[in-house]
Amino acid sequence: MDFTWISEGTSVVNKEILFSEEDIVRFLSVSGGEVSSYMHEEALVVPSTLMAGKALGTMLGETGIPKGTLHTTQKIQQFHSVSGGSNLIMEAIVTKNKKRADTRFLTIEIRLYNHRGEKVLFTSSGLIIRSESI
Amino acid sequence: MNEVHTIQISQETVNEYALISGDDNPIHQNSSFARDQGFDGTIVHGMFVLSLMREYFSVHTNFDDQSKLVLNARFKKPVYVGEEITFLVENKEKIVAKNSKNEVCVDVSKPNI
Repeated sequence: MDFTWISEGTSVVNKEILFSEEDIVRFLSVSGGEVSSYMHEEALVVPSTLMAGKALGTMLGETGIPKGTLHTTQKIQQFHSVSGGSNLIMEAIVTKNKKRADTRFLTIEIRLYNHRGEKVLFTSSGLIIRSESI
Repeated sequence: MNEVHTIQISQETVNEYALISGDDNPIHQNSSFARDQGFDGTIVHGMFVLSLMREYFSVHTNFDDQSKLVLNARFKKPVYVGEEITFLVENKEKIVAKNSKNEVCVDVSKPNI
């Protein structure tokens, strides 16, 4: 995908993402979390940082944002818990796209919605794309 | 609160995080690419550092409330793979990750809402 078409206000991704129980266990294993902290009524709930990280990774892959892009800021706000095995709908929107010299500054907001249409997570990521020759 | 925790993040765990998150930016996994980008080696995903900080402090302090999470993070300096990083609580609303030069690499705040 050609990244240069992205502009402020553009919805760049509208995609379904699965957050499996296997994802949760693997994530907690590498991040030092405790499975017991995420058990709720005998089911695992998805850590918010896993939701945010996987959404960001998916967005980066889908938009063709260049390799080497740097992450400068991150806001995460969770509204509802999500059970493992859930599919969420991701919507990603560019809210800032400024170019200065050969550097581009992007802010991308991501919202995740559950199957009931409720917003479960909001994230805002600041990104810097350096040495832009695209 | 003055919780302090020192860790080193291995390339193996960074590679695993890349698989889980889908963020396969080579700056995190390919040292030649990272050096070409002006770094001293591969750097850890900012979101992975944030995740490590959040998990540590949610277990060891009352920094985090799972049910109403709001976090603001700033990635101020790169965290290198294999580098010794210290997590510490600055106050009840702010935690930081510092490198061996005592530079703040990541700060995370939980604003009042």
